[in-house]
Amino acid sequence: MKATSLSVLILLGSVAIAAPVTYWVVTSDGTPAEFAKQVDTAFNAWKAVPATTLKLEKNKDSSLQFAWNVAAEDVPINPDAITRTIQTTSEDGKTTSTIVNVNPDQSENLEGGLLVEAGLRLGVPLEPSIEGKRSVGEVEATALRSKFGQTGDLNGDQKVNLDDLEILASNYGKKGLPSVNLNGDFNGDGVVDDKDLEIMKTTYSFEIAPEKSLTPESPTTPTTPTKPETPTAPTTPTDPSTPPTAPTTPTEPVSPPVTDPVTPPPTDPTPPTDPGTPPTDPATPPTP
Amino acid sequence: MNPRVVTLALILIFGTTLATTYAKLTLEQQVEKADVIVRASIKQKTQETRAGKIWTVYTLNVAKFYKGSSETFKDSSFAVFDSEKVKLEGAPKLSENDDLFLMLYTKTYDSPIVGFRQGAYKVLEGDKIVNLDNKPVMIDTDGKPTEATVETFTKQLETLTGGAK
Repeated sequence: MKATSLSVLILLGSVAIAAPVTYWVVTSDGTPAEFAKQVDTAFNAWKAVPATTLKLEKNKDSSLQFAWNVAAEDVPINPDAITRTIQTTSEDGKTTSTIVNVNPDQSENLEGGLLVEAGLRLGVPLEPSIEGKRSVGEVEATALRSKFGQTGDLNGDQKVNLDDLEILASNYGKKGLPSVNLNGDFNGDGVVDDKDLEIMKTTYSFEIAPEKSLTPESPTTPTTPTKPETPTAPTTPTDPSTPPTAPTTPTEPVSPPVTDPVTPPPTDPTPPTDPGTPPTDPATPPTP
Repeated sequence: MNPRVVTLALILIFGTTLATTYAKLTLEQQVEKADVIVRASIKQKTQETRAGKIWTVYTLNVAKFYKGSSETFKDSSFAVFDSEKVKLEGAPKLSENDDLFLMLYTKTYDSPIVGFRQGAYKVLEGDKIVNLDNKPVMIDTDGKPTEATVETFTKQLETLTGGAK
């Protein structure tokens, strides 16, 4: 792959993945001043998870409100509840609004409760029973990344394959700020290394899984791959001081080519090599 | 580890992504806090409007009181602030004929179950005790945690409430 193409791909990769924005509002009525900060802190704890494309903004949409015990007089909160979430569907059923009430009597557990609520709003499933302090642990961070994380798709073609591995290889060992063209630094630790390769490995098979649909179900689709794709030649290093070498072994899993439609399907179709199988060993780091 | 596997594992472990958070309570704490503890089955589940708000009302067939009495739990029912249009996330959802041990507050709350939903235990197959997430309830028997049965759970309740009624 030429260096110019690589640059374009890197640029594409840097803008390819977008996440929906999550908004929230903290109502002011009867709310202690520090409450808004506590809610912000909870969301910021999730936002701080490296290598995600998570976007959070407050005060732009009131469909998610955090309120200090609003409506408690009408419907008292269970004394053991820390936060209570009520979801109201409009009469026409088209919109829903969510209000998270806080139980003032559980202030010692509030930090943990808000962290869990913020995580749940972002779609990260968490245990709702709180015992002491909570923080965003590695398991939760991984779960968040699975929703909003960089996926390994460095060139933005919706696949994670050898082309992406080449990009990672070309940056392998490089250090810098993740946001400054350091593609492949999936975990955001400022260096492209084995850890990032591990992350790419986890999505390698997933991204190409849809290609499975090209296999045996359709009678007009040939089922046996005729030719495995040959790995592309190693990328020319862009930085002579850290000559990357493209991975040596992986044979890219490919879908069976959709070719001659008149070719009859084999009577006893041999399943193609599972396109979901990752390359032989993408975990083997390229030689920096 | 594959992030999707982690997410799946979290969903399996925690069951739902429903919010409403609550302080974790031990069985002992639940027993202490409860005004009423009963073994009962759900006789009827209805929706009622009270002061302009819709509640789900559960009427019980009480088999036995472990705490409180028919005096303190006169109508043998409780209401949860949960309906189709206004959902209380994480609210206990019970069905008619469910066989349960219930620890309840007698005051009106959005959920009157002690610990929001922790103080409700289902009896499955007549003997096995699970919580509302269908996880087995563990009880210390001879110093080691074992899955609770009606017999061991009842014994534990009777011990914690100060004896059989």
